Amino acid sequence: MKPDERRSNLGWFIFPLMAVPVIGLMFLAIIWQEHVGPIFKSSPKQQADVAGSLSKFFTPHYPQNTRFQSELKLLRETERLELENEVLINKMVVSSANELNMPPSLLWCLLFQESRLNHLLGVSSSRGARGLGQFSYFGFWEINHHLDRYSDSNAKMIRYLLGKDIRPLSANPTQLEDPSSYYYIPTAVTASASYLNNRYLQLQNNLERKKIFYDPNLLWMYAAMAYNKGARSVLSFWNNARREGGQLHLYELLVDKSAFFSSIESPERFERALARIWSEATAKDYARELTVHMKQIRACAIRPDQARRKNNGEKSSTSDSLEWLKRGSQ
Amino acid sequence: MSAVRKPNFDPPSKKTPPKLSLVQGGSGKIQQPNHEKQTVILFLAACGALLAAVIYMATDQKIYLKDIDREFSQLHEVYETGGLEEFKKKKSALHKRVHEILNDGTSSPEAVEAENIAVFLFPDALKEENLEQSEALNLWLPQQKLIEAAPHSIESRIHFEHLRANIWNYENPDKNRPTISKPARQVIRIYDALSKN
Repeated sequence: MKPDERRSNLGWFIFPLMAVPVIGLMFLAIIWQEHVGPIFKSSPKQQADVAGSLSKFFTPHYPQNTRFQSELKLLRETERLELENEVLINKMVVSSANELNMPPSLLWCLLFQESRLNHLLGVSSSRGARGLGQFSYFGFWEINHHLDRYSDSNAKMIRYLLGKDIRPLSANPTQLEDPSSYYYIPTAVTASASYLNNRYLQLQNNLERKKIFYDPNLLWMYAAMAYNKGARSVLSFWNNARREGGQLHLYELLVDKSAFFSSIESPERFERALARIWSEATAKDYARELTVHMKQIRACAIRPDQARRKNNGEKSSTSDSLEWLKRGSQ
Repeated sequence: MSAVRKPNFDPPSKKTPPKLSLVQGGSGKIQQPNHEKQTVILFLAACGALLAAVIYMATDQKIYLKDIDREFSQLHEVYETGGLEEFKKKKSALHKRVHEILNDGTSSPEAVEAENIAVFLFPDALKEENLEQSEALNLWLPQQKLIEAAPHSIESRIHFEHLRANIWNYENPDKNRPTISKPARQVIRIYDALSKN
């Protein structure tokens, strides 16, 4: 056998032998991604990109809507909202939102919607929801026992902003200045931000487990929906969207802003979804409340040019990608 | 003296077919001959049977629905009267039933009811694309298994507290008028009984 021939025969053995560890590593990488998490964590640049995309959608100047602006003015004039408290709430909203990579306008608008920034709301009653973010008994339970259920970012944020872990949290009406009291403004804002963050991560995990893609901006809006009406309401809405219009309709609601905005315009869509859980009358009530809540949040927290529904002729980039998906599925 | 009755030798007169109704003796009673009565009775019976069939068809769903609902509601009582083994047996039978209904592929009221039961008790019976499945598998199924493995222990009570809080946080749509759905309430009731010390 000539040396050249020997070399070429050797090639037949070496290349498959080299391919075995490469394929093995690829399999390991896939298994790792599936069970442990992403191998390459997002870089600060990627995180900044996400923040950039959020700031294009959510407004830096809140509240956007004139109704909330005039209400806020009235609260100030009637001294129902003291300047000192307002400044502290705003400062804590921005800090917690930055730590959690969350749009501050959404958090602020949610707190305004829930309590009109009255951090002592419910202090004199023995029942119902309490404080800035209208926490219930089970809201406190989640913060006290499952703060880190989806990520350790909440606990880190609370320790960083408040200097220590302030748990167990309660709505103790006798110790309003205690950092463990939900009536203490910094605690109320950080706890509410954590609860909202958990709703976002809960929905995100659910979609990623099913390999369903989404727009993070819209997912924050769905998280605000889950904060108000429970994660089940959102998941039922998505399940119903898939049932009625197929997987593409679900994608549409998760990536197409105009489809999302048109869906929150009509309570009927929510009603149909909620009627699978509640009686017709109750579903109707909840659907109406949810529509009002989402319209207010949209008007308060989203840039006006983004919150506007596209005209028929106008097409967004997400609509284009959906068109492409539809063509692909045919 | 009694009058001698004259024997009646008249030949039996041919009975004329009776008219539809005959008024006799001014009593005001309408009398019908037997075979006509039978016809009317038969007609009424047929109508009744038809009506019953229509009503049954219309309410069949509800009867079936009540069946699953009853079985689900009874789980709690079954545990209290028959113990853990009986409870597991009934739960398993209900699981099979729910699975069958959901596999049927229809979107009838009983399928919706079965789906709601499956969310809180048998998430494996839900279709894979159902987004509620993974929540149920993470948030309350592990606690249910732990409670059933060691009922009435101190640990089981702790697991129950987590199960209850997770269900409430997942579902509660109204902070000012706290409420959860019937299947959610029922599951909490069952595992409350199983975990009481």
